Amino acid sequence: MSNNETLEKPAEAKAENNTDNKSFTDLVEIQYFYKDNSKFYITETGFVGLNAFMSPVQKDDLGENKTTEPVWQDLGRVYFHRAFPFDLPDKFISVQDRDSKEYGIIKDVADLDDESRKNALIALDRKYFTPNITKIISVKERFGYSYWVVETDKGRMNFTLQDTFRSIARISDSRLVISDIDGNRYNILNTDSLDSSSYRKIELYI
Amino acid sequence: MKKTKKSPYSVTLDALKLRFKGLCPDSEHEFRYTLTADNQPLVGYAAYYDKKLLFLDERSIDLRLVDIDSFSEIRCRQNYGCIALEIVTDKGDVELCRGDMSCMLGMQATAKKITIIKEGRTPNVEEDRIEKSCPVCGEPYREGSTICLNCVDKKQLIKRVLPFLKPFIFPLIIAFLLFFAISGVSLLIPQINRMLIDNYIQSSGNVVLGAFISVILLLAGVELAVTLMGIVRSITIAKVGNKISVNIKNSLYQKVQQLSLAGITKRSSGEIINRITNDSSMVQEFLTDTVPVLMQQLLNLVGIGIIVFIMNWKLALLIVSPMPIIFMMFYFLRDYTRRMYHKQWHASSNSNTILHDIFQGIRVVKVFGMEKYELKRFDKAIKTESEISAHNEVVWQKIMPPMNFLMGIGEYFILAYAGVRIISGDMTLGEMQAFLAYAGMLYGPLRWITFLPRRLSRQLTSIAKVFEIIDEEPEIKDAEKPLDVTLKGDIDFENAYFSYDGYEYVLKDVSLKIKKGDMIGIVGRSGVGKSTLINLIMRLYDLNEGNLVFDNIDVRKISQHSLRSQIGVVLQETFLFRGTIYNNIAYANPKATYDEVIRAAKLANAHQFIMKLPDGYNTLVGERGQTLSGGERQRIAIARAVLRNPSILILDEATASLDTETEKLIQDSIAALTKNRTTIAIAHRLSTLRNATRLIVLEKNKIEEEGTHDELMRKNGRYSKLVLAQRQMSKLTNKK
Repeated sequence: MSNNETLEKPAEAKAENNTDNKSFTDLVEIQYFYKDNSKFYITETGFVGLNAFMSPVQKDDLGENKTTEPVWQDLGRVYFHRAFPFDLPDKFISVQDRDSKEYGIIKDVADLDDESRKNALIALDRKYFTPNITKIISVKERFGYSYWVVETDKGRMNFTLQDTFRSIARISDSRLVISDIDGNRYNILNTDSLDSSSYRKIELYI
Repeated sequence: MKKTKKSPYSVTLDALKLRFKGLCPDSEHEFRYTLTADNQPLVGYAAYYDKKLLFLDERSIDLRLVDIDSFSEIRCRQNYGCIALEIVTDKGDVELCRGDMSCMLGMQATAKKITIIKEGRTPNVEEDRIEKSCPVCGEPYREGSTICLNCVDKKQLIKRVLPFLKPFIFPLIIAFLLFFAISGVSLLIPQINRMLIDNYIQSSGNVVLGAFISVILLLAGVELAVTLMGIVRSITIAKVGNKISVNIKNSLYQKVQQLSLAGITKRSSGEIINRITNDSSMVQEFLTDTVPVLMQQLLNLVGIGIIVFIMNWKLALLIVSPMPIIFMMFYFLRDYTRRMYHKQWHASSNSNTILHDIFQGIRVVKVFGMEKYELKRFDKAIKTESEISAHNEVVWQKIMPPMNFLMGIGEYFILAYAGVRIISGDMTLGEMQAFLAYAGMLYGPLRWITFLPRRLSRQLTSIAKVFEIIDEEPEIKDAEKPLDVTLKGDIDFENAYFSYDGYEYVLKDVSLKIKKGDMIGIVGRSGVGKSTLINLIMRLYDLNEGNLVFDNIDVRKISQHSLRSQIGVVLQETFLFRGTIYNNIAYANPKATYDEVIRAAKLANAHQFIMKLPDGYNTLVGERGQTLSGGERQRIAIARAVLRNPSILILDEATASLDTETEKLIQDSIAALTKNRTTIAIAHRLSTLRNATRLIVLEKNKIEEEGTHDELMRKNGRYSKLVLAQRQMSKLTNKK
């Protein structure tokens, strides 16, 4: 996982983008979803679907595209995936089909209309289950594994880490993401706001 | 996630299970779920019974039933930190239940089982392990492990190590006796000292010089004896220890070689190397360091205790009285210093990682001109490291002198008490001297013992890990009487199903007949199971369902060695061992003559470039050897494969990194070679497969199209689309 050092963009690299020529990155088109071209709705069975104004989506990869003229089309249930789950949880959200093929990207949920935004956020909440740790009650190390009891915004939880140091990703100086042996993720949004006894328990691994 | 005392749930899982059993006593294939549809914690329990899925959670009064005929498909949708069991109905997708990732195995097994039942097949009972967790404590097993370190019987573990000592019983007895002797003799030293002081130095009467000198000689002799015995003991133990370590490493290595690829790949190579090197050293350390020293220290502790209490029990109590405090101090310091050095270790490991990173990617750093940025990054890391280590040093210097002073306090007690007694004539100076010496000797073992628990737990963990591998049953085993057969080259897949994780099938109901002499080309997108197909032919994995038959003999009846010795493989990633080119080619057949090696190299079109190298076939390759290009390495790998004269030749993207001209040359050589042999080739570049007698197009884990190039082109399906697309590409490149 990237740490804060690699996220910092070096100053030299930025300066070089200021050329008059068309940049390489301009050559790629991104289908963005915003309030005029997309309506996210709740399907009959409780998932989030998308009605979008865009080039016809090719369902079968053997068929050929007859036209690229955008039209309104109901894509049915769609799947969401955050491009920057740590840095920008509400921005750059990929909207995909069942096989993870991308329809387009929501640049910012704020770009959507109220109803669509509400539905998109519901879908994100259901996709991403990452309890936020508010208090560390105990950490016990045994046989190379550590056993944690924590208080989270979803209630008290227990989990086990294998290779404790490597299971705790340092997103920034004060933000941590912990991955347990089952593949669950827990956030510590700000280590500085932990009480001192909690902080002492995790200090060793930061 | 387990529940603790202050649970957010209204019921426990056990209570819910009881209720579930009350409502449906006969259910099978049970699993739990832990979240509501909007990701709030929940206790839920579900099972399959009589063509229905049954759900019960803490909020519901009665079972929720879902008929398995009411949906067309069931699957797990893995989200981020949670997983949901979903079905596809006429109305669309419906979510049945969801849970955190600890529910994944249970839900996946359920989806798999229901799918099999719906398809009218019989689920495999053996694979029906719902959750991989310890039956005793409920803790899930660790990755790639089937022992619960929580519940593992430590005595049992130690018993397992003892057989490794058996071949060395004689030297060990000697070492053991030496322990006793050393302990006993070193306890004598303060006594002799006392004798020296009381009888001679302090003596008021006539001192016989000869006797005096003999006592001094005795003292020197005893010291010498302790030293000599110590040397003999250390040498014995070091020798035995090394031999034990070699034995452990060998049995581990042998086992790892026996394990199937599945058994090996579920652990990272680093993990396995760690077990062979570090964990076995830990076992050695346990046997030759921890156990003997523990014995020695305990003997000392008990011996000194007995002596001082016999000598003067009041004074003995005085010596012992500060012990609990000192013990506590050691104990807390142990934790504190552990934290201190842990931090330092992490900091240094961090700066090492950065260094490693930079040198691995030095080209990228230079090309992008990022030297300054990397320097800053490294600078920050080493500064942090030096700050931590300086801080630790300072703290250590502040702690240790007062600690030593405190430890010395016992001696002041003795001095004060004994001084008064000496003055009143109740005690001799020699006695006091002996007491002081014994008191000093007591702290050593004490200090050592405080560090023992941590040491023991580390070593026991390693022992557990070592035996986990030694005890593991290889997943792919030879039949009781494996057949050594000469393969003709017929290969038959009959309704084959295969999945790496037991849940998602990579191959589904694949039937394929390959005749001797066929050249089969396998085409398809990445991830459709092309490489899996050849892994199965090499029997690196076994099918989950269906049969794989060679010349009418089931693959499971053929000895693995005999099977693989008749298959030649060239993989996309060629691996060259450290050694000469000759060694690398002859690896496949160490009995090959020089002449044969050259012929194989010529066939693979490698001879020409090898002869351009100054050292020819004796050129060193592999790590730190001559650097060869991807194409050159591949040609060596092809030579290696053909040298084996295999009846079945497998080429997995074997010519992908060669230029078209070389590829054509090799193709022609291979064409000559494959006349009477079965060849199976995977290639993205379809021109590679132009010699194929039959092409198989895999898509969505099944065979979508099958036939010759012409047949498939006429069919106008996926293959012809692929060919047209590639032709257009090559036209474009030619125009340029």
